[in-house]
Amino acid sequence: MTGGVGSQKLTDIANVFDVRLFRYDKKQRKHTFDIEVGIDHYTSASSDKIDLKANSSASHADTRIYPSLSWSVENEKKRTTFGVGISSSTEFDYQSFGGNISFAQKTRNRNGEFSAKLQAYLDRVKLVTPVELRNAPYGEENDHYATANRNTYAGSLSYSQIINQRFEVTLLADLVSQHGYLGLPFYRVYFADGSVHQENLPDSRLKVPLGVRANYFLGDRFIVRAYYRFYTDDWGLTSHTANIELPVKITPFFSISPFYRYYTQSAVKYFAPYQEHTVKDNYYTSNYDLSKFNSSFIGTGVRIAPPKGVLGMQHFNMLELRYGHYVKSINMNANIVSLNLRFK
Amino acid sequence: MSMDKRLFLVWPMAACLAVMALVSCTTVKEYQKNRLNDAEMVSGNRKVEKQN
Repeated sequence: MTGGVGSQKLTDIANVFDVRLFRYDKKQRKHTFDIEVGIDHYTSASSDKIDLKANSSASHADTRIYPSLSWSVENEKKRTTFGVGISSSTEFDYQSFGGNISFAQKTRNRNGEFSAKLQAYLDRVKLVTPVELRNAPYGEENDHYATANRNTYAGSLSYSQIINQRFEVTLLADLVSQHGYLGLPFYRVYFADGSVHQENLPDSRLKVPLGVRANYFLGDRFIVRAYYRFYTDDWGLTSHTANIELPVKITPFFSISPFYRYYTQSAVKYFAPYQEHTVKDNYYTSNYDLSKFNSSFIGTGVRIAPPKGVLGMQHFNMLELRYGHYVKSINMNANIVSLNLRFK
Repeated sequence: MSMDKRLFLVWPMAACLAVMALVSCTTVKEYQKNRLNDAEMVSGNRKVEKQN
């Protein structure tokens, strides 16, 4: 938010509650209802700089709430699954409403499955401008922010195929189109002449991610989970993601999963560091999320799912704990701890 | 060869391996899927990865 310089310190606490219900109808079709509610709370040293003169402001922290509902029906005889879902996400300066529809078809021998999904997100961005760039004088409360729309439409295709009793491969392809206000209104960009501007990015973006997953059960205890994704878009960003995870089943109910993920991306056409943009640039950003960088994410997880329940509690079905250390080549690192508890 | 150029070759190599795997597949019956149905073999991101 301070034009490509300054602190990137951020803390984020995220919780998701997921309730899943199953029911069979008279035609033996399996209906699945999923209710999910997510709550994130974050504090950010950069977000706190919307007003450079304030020691701290309300923008130093925010809470996001994101509920979703989905329903799917699986017809075992016809080997089909159909699903629909709706979602929303709300935080101080951003509101999103989403809907999706999906369809899956298994092959006759049930070793392959083709699936397709369409998603739409209709978002509204509150245009919270850096204080010194507003029309209202310094020190005045500005409760009436303008808003702008951001719409995202995504189509996803996947095909998974069982190769043999130990090996399964999945191919993934998406096409994502975005329109509207695609920048961040509170991001500053400092030009070479010392002037400060609000970030300005194009009002459309087309993204194409392509991926492949491969899972292999090696011997009796070892599993190899591999994933590769290629991404490109019309803003000039190209990226590669390679992820490998090696779960080891210590017992049938206890496993340890070390993992490593490598990511590299090129910069978008409109990125330049602090004080390198000029008035000749039609579009400009100094947001380092859109710069060239590499990252590594390494860690391990444990999974416990004993038949009599975790700690002997029958309804406490499964516990997963995961820690990862994330390092970005642009002088940023993070530690992430995740916990997943399942109750039946 | 730069890392980016090496990685750019990974995509067509991964696609070729995937196609080769697909054409060499054998039919697996439901009772033979005990390893494929293991919780660690789930295709897609784990729930615990969601926030990473």
